[in-house]
Amino acid sequence: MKRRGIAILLMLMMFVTIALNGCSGDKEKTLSTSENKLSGNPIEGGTIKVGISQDLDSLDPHRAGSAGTKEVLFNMYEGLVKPDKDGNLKEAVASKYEISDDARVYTFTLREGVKFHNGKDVTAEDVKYSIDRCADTSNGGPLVSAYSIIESVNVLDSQTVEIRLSEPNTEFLAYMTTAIIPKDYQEMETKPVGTGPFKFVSRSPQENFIIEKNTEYWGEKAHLDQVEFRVISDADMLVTNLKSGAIDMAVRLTSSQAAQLTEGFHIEEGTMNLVQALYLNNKVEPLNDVRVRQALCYAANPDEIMMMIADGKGVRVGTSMYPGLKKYFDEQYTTYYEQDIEKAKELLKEAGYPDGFDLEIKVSSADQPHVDTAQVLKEQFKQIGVNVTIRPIEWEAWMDEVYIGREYESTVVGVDASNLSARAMLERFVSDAENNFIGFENVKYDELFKKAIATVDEEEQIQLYKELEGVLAEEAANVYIQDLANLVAVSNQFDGYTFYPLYVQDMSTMYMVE
Amino acid sequence: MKFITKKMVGLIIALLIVSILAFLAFEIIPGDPARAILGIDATKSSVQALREEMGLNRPLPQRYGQWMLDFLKGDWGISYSYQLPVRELISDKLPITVVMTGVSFLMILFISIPFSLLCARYENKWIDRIFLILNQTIMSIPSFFVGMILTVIFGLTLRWFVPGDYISYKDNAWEFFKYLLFPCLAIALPRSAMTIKIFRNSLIEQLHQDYIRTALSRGNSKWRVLIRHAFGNGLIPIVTFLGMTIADIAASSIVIEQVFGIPGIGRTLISGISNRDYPVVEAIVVWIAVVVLVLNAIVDYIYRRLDKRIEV
Repeated sequence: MKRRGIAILLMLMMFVTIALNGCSGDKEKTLSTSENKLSGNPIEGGTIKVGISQDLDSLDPHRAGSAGTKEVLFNMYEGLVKPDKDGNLKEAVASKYEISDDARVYTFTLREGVKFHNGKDVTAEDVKYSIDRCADTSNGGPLVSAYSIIESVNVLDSQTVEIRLSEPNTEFLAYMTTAIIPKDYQEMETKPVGTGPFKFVSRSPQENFIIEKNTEYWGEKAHLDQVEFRVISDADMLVTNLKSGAIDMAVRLTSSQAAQLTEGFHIEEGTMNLVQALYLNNKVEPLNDVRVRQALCYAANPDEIMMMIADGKGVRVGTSMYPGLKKYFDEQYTTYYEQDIEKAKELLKEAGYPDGFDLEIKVSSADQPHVDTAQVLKEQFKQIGVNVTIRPIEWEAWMDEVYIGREYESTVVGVDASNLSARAMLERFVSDAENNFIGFENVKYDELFKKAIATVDEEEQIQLYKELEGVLAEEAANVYIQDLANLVAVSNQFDGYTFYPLYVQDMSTMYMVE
Repeated sequence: MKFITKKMVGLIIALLIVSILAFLAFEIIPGDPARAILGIDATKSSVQALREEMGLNRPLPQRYGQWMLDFLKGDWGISYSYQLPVRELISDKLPITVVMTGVSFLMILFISIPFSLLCARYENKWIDRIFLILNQTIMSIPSFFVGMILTVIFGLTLRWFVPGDYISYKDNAWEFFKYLLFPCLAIALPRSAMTIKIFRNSLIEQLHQDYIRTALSRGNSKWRVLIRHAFGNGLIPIVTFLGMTIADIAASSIVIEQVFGIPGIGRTLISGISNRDYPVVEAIVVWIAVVVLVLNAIVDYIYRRLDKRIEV
């Protein structure tokens, strides 16, 4: 009997050893892989397989809700304009645009010879149809909420479309990225048609989404013949699949995942274009006191968080603007609060909490970086007597309870902008904004914002936006942390990955190397 | 005949309960399917409008009744997250899960029957003892972990298969089958260990009965007695166990599908739950229940045939 016990023990030890070996990554080797530059010559053709963490929620570009879907569909659809890698809006389906001096009339001239994937020419009627479809309010609200200010879309001639707004808006061009689709086309979900560099091949739910090169594309054509996006919902499987060669590329890896890919891959490093922060419910006690919020800001150490969760990767932010929006990002707020425990304690005492208080952090359990960040914050806040409980919840529940219901004290999450406009980042903190989930209320902020959006002069507007960022920092609306690092692993057979300052996976720049 | 009627009534009641529970579960957990479709920044008014359109604002009994009627008519609704008929979606995924369950089950039979006989024949000899330890170990490892070990050993080290490189049965049936072998093995191993343990004990119990001694004294060889006499009687407890095993395989395959990246029913179910895609989840839950209940009825029937003493 005794001998059997020992045998079992030995067996168990063997399995544990195997399991642990699988988990440990070689951290030192990552540095050299990230510097690895490919020397092979680009060749045309080939198929790349890309891992995506969630299945597409819709193939209809106007109904696609999640960022994960939009970034994939970017390859198939185009608007009148489209974003480029530097954050500028470039003409796409339109070859020229004009904005009236009062910023109320936008006139677009269509590009000659742009064809849909089904071979039909893009006409002014298609453009009108696409924009009207997104502005339609018969189903409660427009598909693109910014379109509520569209007064009319008019076809001036076969190549010209004019959009009239009910109020001036200098940034409306950023919303003209809405995909242009054929008029009255009914098969968007099963046979989607766009104008982009890739066209639809097939789709199998929970399995894959395949697109191929559009040889009729009006612009610079794609290098790859085919792209297969594979749904891999399990984060651990992602690395296994990269190692086994089942997929060639994956985005948004954590640094520990990237550290496991020592052979055959190069790791590209960018940022995720979001603002990760401990978002604070400004309406609940004691967080409704600005001194308490400031105390939390002084207690937090973003650099340490980045060090702990991602080997120091990521870019620090100090207000609700990410560095990718270069024009609007103001460096000075980044270090507005440097860790100062004494000062933090002082502020808490002033606010009437000399012994600290209890704080609950709700966090979406599927987002490991946010969960990790909450863990580090918990330790940092301990130093000023703030006792943190972390409550991981499922994403849908997070949306319901935190974002919509606002039943929370604080939460770690990343907030992004779906369009290339600073306005999208800042508008949510206006007192009566529907998506103002932290319940921020500041008269000065509301007035400044009104002034900013009414300003036609760009320089002046940028200045006002920066002032708004300043208010958020001073008022310690949230404990701002960072724009998370986005690590992209690409097989050494491929190169050409390009980062965009918003959620986009542009496959047209990718190519095979010899 | 009485047996079948009794089983049918039980089946219908069980299905009613299961489908009501699935409906209730979605009432209780937070999350709104309309918002899941429209995205996080949709306005409250458009979410409300969509809820109205989807009929989510109607009272629960009414929604359930409607769903039930449609389901019986063969209309399983439209998936919220795929805008495809649920029927189409599931019938596309069903062959994967059916093949996986079938292959795993056959593997369990092919592994456990010969080894159980071997262990019973050489009771307490070294071969029996080795299996005792091996069984104990494998039994205590959950199938998803076996799956991970198989992936590391046969996938990444020996490269016998490419983990994650699932090939659809529509593209290449043989490659599809080959890819499923390791996932099925992961499901089959822990269950085989349990089956061997139970079957061996049951066989040994038979071998100690008087009728076996009689058979041996007539000069029959030990192997012959084991297979001709003990096997049939020793099978009775195993049939029940194997019946439960099929339900268990269906459950394990949900996890194994995640580990090996197989887009079967399990994965569709999990994504359906996280997207609050009620029609998909309802249909899958009800079908899993149907399969489990029908199999159980079949097992009961076989059981009765094997042992006339049992009145079901």
